[in-house]
Amino acid sequence: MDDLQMKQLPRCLERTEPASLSAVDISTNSNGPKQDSFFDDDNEDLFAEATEEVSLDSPERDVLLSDGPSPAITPITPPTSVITPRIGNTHDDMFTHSSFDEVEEEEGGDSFDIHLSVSDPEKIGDGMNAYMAYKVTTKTSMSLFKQRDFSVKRRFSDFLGLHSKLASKYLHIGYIVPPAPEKSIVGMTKVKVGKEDQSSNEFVEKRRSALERYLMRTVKHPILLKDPDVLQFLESSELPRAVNTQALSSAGILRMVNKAADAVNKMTIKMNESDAWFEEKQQHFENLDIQLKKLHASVESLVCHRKELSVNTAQFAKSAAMLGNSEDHTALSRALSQLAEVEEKIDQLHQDQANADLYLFSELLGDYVRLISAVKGVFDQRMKTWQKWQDSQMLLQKKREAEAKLQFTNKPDKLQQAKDEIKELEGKVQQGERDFEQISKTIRKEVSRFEKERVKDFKMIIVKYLESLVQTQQQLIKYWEAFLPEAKAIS
Amino acid sequence: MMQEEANEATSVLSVYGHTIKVTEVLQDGDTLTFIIVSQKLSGTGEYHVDRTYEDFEWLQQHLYAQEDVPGLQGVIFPPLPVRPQVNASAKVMKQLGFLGLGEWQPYCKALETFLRQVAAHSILRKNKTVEVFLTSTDPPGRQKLRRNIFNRLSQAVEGLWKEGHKDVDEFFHTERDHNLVLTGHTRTAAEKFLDVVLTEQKIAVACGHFAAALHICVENGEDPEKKAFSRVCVKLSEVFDSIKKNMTSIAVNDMNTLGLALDLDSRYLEAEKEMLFRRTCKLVELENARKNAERAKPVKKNAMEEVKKAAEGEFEQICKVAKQEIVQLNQERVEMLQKNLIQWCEQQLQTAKEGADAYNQHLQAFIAMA
Repeated sequence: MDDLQMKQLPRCLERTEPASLSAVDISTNSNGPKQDSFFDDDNEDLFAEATEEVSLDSPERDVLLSDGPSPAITPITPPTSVITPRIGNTHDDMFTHSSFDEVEEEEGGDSFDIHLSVSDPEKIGDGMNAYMAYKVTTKTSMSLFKQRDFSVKRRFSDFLGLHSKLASKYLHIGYIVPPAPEKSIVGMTKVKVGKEDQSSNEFVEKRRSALERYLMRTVKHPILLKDPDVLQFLESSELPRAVNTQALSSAGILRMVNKAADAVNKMTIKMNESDAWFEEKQQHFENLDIQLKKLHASVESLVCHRKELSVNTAQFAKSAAMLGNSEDHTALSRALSQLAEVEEKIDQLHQDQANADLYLFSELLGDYVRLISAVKGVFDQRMKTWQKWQDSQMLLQKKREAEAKLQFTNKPDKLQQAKDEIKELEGKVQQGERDFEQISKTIRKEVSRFEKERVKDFKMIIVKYLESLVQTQQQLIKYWEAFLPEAKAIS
Repeated sequence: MMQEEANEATSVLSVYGHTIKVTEVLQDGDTLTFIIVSQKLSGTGEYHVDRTYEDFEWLQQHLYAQEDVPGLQGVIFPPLPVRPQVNASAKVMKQLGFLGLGEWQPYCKALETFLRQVAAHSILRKNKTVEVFLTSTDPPGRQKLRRNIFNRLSQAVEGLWKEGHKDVDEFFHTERDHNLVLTGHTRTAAEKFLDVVLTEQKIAVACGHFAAALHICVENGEDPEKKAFSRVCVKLSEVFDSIKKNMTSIAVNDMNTLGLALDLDSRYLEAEKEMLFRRTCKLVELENARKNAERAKPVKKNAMEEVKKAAEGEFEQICKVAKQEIVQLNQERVEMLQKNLIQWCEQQLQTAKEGADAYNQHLQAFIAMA
């Protein structure tokens, strides 16, 4: 696995603290993995990781499937300029380069202006120790960065490492941290083994594109953009190696979060949801989760059929060519050969269209299914925060009762101790209340951001998709117009 | 020259063959009934008749079993489609191929073509069963004829080895080889094209599902973001309805033009193959008759000579008819394929243009939505 290799880079794991927020562990229950695992320098167990990867109780399992076995028989060529985004792009070939994405937002003084690209996937090393390195290029005019145009080399585990750091810092206070792309044993093994077939090419391209979208979503977040880990990720030529990959799986982190949340739910104390907004939103995201998964499955089915159409068209083209060869009549023979050629070209169009369906919709929906998990996680964090506050309050209550009782005993030391404890607890309760209010406020903002971004995201993808459709049709028109005179020339 | 002048007066088709239409198919349980309309030669109106598949078979059998038609075995009989089946099994669907698609419309078209070919055939149209079939209000008698020269079963029994029997004539030798190759390739092309059409239909269905699933995502509420997302979902659903429409159109075009053409071509080449086989069998018979005549003892000699002469005469007739038929088939094939290729191309071009327009409109609508 690419992220097990620690040869090139230093083995230390840096903990960076965000400027204003204190690092708080996100697993408070015995259900979750021990806190230490985050910063564990032990050797990884490959199989433990593998087990985690494909465990059936994972809420992200559906998402894993999008990386799974595709109809392997079909030749898939890399997406061509059919789906190049309309916004200015110096690269035509999406396979080795990538799409740029430009969004303008006013955020304080420094307006949002970053172009990010993940490109040039390069296989480093051989056999099972091999991994893919990607070039991450940033072009920006923002003062946050030291330069205006720079690039670094990163591997997949680096992205996972970034996500884990951000999650540990921001999830528990209500920020929706975009999830990193899923790991895939099957996909990566093919690449390592050196299998240069269409399905492994497709895998690499899918991953490259997913990494790019992940980074873009992360930097679009005004808070995350300023995080030193993010800046370091984009700028620093060498990154300390992320070590314990078990912890690094986004799915793993979210599973931890959700497991903790489940434990909360099992407790008999139910949260008094005084805020209807939260109740409604929670339900809303539950529904959205189901709907998106349905849509995703629907698109996958469509992609499958398109690939099938491509195969069938190619086969028909061959049979038409053979028929043309065996015909005596010269003009008919030629027309049939032309027919075969037209069908071959159409086959290519079908492939491109299938790729558009795939790369645009299927991936978008997959991203959003994962994002919804992150959103749900954040809501659960709020519940936990509330629980913590309530716990402190209850404890304070008990201590006050105990102190009251101590009043009538002659134990000045114990009394003083009780008073001190109460003072401390009062502080904790206040902090708890502040935390709860803060996280509620943050979540409201985050959800609003999410919903705005969602609309933008979908619109952008749909526009790209429609452009690809229009282009395909126009190409088709050209082919038919070229064939018509051939058909007419037969007799 | 055919000596049917005498018959011509009595067996002339009273309808315009090219106006024959199979206008409707009615389904009653497992039975399919076809309505056939044709224009009277006299210009006084139309004939409307209803026929089942058995009636078509009756017609075909009668055509096969005609007597006193010299060289009949050299005729390439217009092929009748296989028997249709309501709720067809997978095996029958495969046999039907294109004709099994789309609610029997392609099948009706194939029956129509069959009747038109029969009505246009210089020898076959003279048989009065054709007239009866097209004009009689009562369904024609459905008793099976006992004598049937062209019973497929008997051909198989006769032995496929005859298929490879060396020919005496260069023209036929070439034609037999050519037919063999062409038949195989045409059948394959038809099968592959059918696969394409079936997949196109699958895509149309999948698009419909996606469009429906999007409607489920529409959210109620005053929230501007919710409204915006709902709008996006609704418009995207419309896009996929367009894609579905476009794909369906493509499949229908494929089916009605090139699909039917390849199907017909394939069946006609099979019919030619059968004719060539019959001729080959006759050739074998002739060669045997010659041998027998040669070796015959003086007592039998005359009889054998008669048989030989008869066989020679028949064979000559068959070859004459066969040659004409082959030349005509080759010509008609090319015309038919050309016509359908042109139509196919024109229809697909039209569909592509409509698709481009529709998608462009959607695109502009989405951009404007920003």
